[in-house]
Amino acid sequence: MGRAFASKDFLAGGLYMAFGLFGLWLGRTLEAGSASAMEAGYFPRLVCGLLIAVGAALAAMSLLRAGEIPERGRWRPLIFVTLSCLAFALLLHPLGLVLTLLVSILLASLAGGQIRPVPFLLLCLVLILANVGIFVLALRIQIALWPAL
Amino acid sequence: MPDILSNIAMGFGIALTWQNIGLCLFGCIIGTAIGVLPGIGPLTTMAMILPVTFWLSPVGALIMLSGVFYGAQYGGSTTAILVKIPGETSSVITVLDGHAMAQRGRAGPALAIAALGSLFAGSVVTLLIAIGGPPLAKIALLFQSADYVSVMLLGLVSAVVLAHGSVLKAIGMIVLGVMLGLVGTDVSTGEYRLTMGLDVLFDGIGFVPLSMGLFGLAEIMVNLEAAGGAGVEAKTVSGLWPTRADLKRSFPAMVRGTVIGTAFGILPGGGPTIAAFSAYSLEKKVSKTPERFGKGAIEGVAAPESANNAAAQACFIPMLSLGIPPNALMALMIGAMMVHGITPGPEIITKQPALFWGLIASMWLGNLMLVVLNLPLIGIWVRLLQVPYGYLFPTILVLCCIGTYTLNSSTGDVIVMTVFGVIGYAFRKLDCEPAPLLLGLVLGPMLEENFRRAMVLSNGDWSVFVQRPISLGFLLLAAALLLAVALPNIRRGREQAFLE
Repeated sequence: MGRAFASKDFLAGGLYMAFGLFGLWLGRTLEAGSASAMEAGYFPRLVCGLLIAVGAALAAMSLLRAGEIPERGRWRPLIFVTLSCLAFALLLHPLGLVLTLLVSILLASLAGGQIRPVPFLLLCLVLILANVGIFVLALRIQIALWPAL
Repeated sequence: MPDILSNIAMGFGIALTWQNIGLCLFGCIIGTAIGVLPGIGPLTTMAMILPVTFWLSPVGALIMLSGVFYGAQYGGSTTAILVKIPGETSSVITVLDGHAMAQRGRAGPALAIAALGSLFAGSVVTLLIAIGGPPLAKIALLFQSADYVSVMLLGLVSAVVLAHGSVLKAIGMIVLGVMLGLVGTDVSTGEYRLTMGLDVLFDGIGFVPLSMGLFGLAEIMVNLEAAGGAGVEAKTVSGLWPTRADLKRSFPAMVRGTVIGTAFGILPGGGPTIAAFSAYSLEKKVSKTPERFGKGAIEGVAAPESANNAAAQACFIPMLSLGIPPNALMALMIGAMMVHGITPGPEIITKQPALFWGLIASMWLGNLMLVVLNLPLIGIWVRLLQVPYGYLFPTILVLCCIGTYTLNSSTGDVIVMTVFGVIGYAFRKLDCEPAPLLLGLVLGPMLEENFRRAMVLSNGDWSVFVQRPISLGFLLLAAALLLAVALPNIRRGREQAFLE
């Protein structure tokens, strides 16, 4: 029975229900109104309710037969890809584009395993030049290149 | 008939001036380039070059912007086929068979068929718009809110039909997409909904950060995991040109795709994405060998690629004639027209014939340019596959970050993208296909708006959806589709139960 609760279908159903419940909770203060005079909350409640129902049906049906268990993931790509993007978001304004790209590319490369210094530096050089060239020089997007002093 | 000929001639007269040819070419090249580069979409680019178009003539501005739009459809399918990242929602479905073909070393024929299918659809639709545009706009005028709701439901149901795997899971993904589409400001009351009080969500969850997270980032994570960090093996590509058998299989698919694409393009709320999804599911249904789909069936590339191009052009009709943008890109085009002092609406075809017909003619020209530009260059796109994944994935990742950032100059959007990267990774692990979610996200707000309007008009009476014949027709079609997929599943479920 323990296995049934770890099946892909059961977990997916649970995830849908969680999203639906979260949506209902977030929208708890919105007025629903009636079918002829809907307020902001009517349609969201309808959609969240439907999502919970679908999730519940999926989870219930998964218990009726043995389903596949998700294969074990590896943490390294998940964590470092996430960190790399977060670093970009958080560092861009204080550090400027060039240094931010350096940190992001470093973190991204760590997701792939060990780093060989020469190809890594070449990659950084090419990506930084290309991005500065395309976005800052050609498309004239307002991004600071260096940290503001 | 002489009317149409003189209209087309006038259109070409405008499109074939040196300035407009140049603008069209420029738009197409930019469009293809950004479509190919994973991480920047046409919406971003069109928004970025919008200020440049203020110095052009209105027709020149629209010609260039639409060049970016359909150029990106081409480029988007190129990345969908080669690196499994759809440049646009409309090429999401091309990934299934296009990438499967690339994995079997047939990237060349897939790209060629995608380009030829698009040219075919583009030419046919241009002609169709010229002949039927004005009368068709009148038919679309008959649609009321209830009909829009039903046609969108039909589109969503067809997305369920095509998703392989569990029907319930696909329905869940669509409903989740609709829910995510509700995040942001309610158009009718101006209230913030489901935003968790975060400023970055006040305008809703952006299509770009969400799709880059769900597709771009999650894909990188899964690829790195599968390859153990060593990178994905580069596929060798031989034989760029489709074989005679390929062409024979693709041609009927192109015709069907064009018909579906045109139909869905004209319907407001339709557009290239639903068209591509529907064309694919139809192709799978009519095929004698449906089991080949998802494993590199060439019809699975030809049909959606023809359909999305047909729809991309046909969706200009509701935009020009009704002033209703069927998607975000058309909304941007409307913005561009307003800047030039043109009000979108029924008068455009009659009062601004030069604009309407010039734009239509430039589309055909642009499609031709794209094939001429792209087919010889396919070798260069194919070479993208030879780049080791160790270099490719940091590049994609960085482009996803910058592309998302430049959309609104918002680092908050980059965080939204990151969150959806993690969610997308979880979906992959649970075998939940993310494509239907995107469709739900795009259609959600339109669905709600029309649903609310229909219910107000009917005074809260739900039977309005079955009382109107157009609406009833779409609903019956949707129900039939659902039944068709549900039945074999029930049967299969029973068989398994019996075996146990």
